[in-house]
Formats: sequence, C-alpha cells, structure tokens
Amino acid sequence: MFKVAGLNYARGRRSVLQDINFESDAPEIIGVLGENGVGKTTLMRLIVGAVLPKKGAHITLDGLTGDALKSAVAFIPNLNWVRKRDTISDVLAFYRAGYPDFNQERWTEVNKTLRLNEQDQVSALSKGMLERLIFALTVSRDAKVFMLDEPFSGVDVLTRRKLLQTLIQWVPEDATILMSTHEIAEIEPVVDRVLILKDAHIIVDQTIDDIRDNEHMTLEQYYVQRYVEDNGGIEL
Amino acid sequence: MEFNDSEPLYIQVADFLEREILDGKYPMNTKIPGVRELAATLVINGRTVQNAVNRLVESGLVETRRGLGNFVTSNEKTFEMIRTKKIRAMAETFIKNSLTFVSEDELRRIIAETIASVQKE
Repeated sequence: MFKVAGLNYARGRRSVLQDINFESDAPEIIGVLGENGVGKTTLMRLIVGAVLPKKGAHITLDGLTGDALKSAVAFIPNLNWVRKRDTISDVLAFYRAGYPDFNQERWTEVNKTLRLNEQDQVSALSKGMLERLIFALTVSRDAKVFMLDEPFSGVDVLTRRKLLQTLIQWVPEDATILMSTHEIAEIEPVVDRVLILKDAHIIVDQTIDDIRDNEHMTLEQYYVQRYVEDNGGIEL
Repeated sequence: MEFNDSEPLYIQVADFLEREILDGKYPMNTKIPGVRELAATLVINGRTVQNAVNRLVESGLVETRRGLGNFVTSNEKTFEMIRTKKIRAMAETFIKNSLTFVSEDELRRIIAETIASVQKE
C-alpha cells in the first residue's frame, strides 16, 4: 500500500498544500485534477523528495520510507539536466546507469508505439516528442509508483491515445499510477479514481464508478459542479 | 468507443462487447482477446473491462475456460436467447419512446416504410 498522510507544504506564508491524506492499493490509476497552480506538481515533488514538506508528514510504500521509497517511485519532472548535444541514446544510457530497475524490454515495447529515434538530439525535440520521451523513460522502470505530470500538454489527440494505450498495456500490474492532467473527459475511462485539488486541499477523493453510480454525472460534469459548489455556488 | 453520460462505464463496455459478439466480430466458440489487450485497444481501465467481461460471463454469452481465456459460448440456445433478448430490449425502448408522440398505426406504417427504404439501399 502506498500512503500519504499529514502532508503540508507552504511557500513563504502561503499554504500550497494543506493536510493531504490519501492511500492506494495497487493496481490503481489515480487522476490528479485541479486548476493551474493548485499544487499538483508540488504534490509529486513532495512525494519524490524534491522538496521537503512541513514536519509531521508520513509517506510510506509497503512499509518503505525515505530513500528506499524514493527509489521505488518513477518520476521525471523535466529534462532540464540534459546537455545540449545529448541524444536520446545518451539520456537512455544515463538513465539506465542511474536506475537499476530500468526495464530494457519494456522500453523497446513502448518505443514500438511511441517511435522515438534514439539518434535524435533531445534539445531539438518538439514539445510533443519531449513528452513522449519523458513518458517512455518513466514507465520503463520497474517501479511501484509512477507519477506522470501533465503528460498530455502540447500533445495531439492521436498521441494522447497512444500514451494512454501504452500506460494500460505496459505499466506493471502491481503499481500505483498518479497522473495529473486537464484532459478530464479523455482520462475518465482510464483512471480508477480521482483526487481533485482546490485551494490547497483535496476536495474530492472518489472512484469513477462511485461518481457515476451516486452522482449520475460524468467526471467532467462532477468536476465543474464541485468547483462551483466550493466557490459558494458562484461560477468561476 | 463513445460513452453516454449516465450509466456506469462497465455496463457500457459490456453492451459494446455484446454488440461486437452479436455482430459476428467474435463468432461462437472463438476466443475473445485478453482483458489487458481489450483494455489497451479500447483505451479503457483494465478493471472496468474485467467487470464488463464478468457481466457477459454471468449472462452466459462468454465462458471462461480455465487456462485458455474467455470464449464466446458454444451453446446455440444461449446465444440465440441473448440475441433475441437484445433485439427485444432495443425494440421496446424505441417503441416506448415513439408512442409518446405518434399513434400505433402511424408507427407501424413508418416502420414498414423505413424497412422498405433501408432494404432498397
């Protein structure tokens, strides 16, 4: 079980995330939704230890904490560290050396669909191809938690479909996947459950089945309704 | 596949797969793809697809053969029963909706004319 408890984070005086609690039994795909700047990326950075939460937070994965947990989490916030002349093949070598759980077979399979050319320079890739690369590198590890931060930004509809298919087909079955996105309608049939963030809090933590069964709404309708409700009924 | 707004997704996926089977995409006594493969093709969560397949197993249209996978039933009676049940259900919905604004005679005439024109195509 993957568990996040009592997570708080502030930037200066501003509370970015407040009392974040959720847990996940693998296999599970969780959509992380919320308006721009609400803290979706920060949540992922906190989980992987790139930024530190306030005291009192507990993040555990099957009993693991700290560095042992971090090494079981696959997350690539960006590729800013790549040198200008590095090719995909250079990045791959670096990544393979850095992560012993890199699964070459899965990389090959995933790349049959995503068709990255290993000779291409990373700095010359289009935004869409860069997203493909980040996606492919992330899912090619034998991790227990996979985090994908807006994998569809700047990505066309066919590629979005390919990425989602890849996710369904190739991600290990004993893993939890956290995926932040604004493509609510598109991910509804793919995720098991959603966390909706607003004003530093998780305002919704529900499965898609429950939303459809109990609210008789699509995820997008429910998202809009909850955001409006939370604003005291005032439209955004 | 396209989803409507109100129904749970696994029921819509089950209906979709049932239609594919009744259309002959997967004939009687043949294997249907594994859950993960179906899920990837349809771009739908694996658990949802599994629930949909379970629903078809409960109805008898699909049989799980241990170690081999899921097969369309080889029982003609079961297949036929499900097929006619499906057509009757579709007809019932259509007729109920139509009778709220046309008379029975008018509806009969329209159906007959529509069948004739569809057959011409």
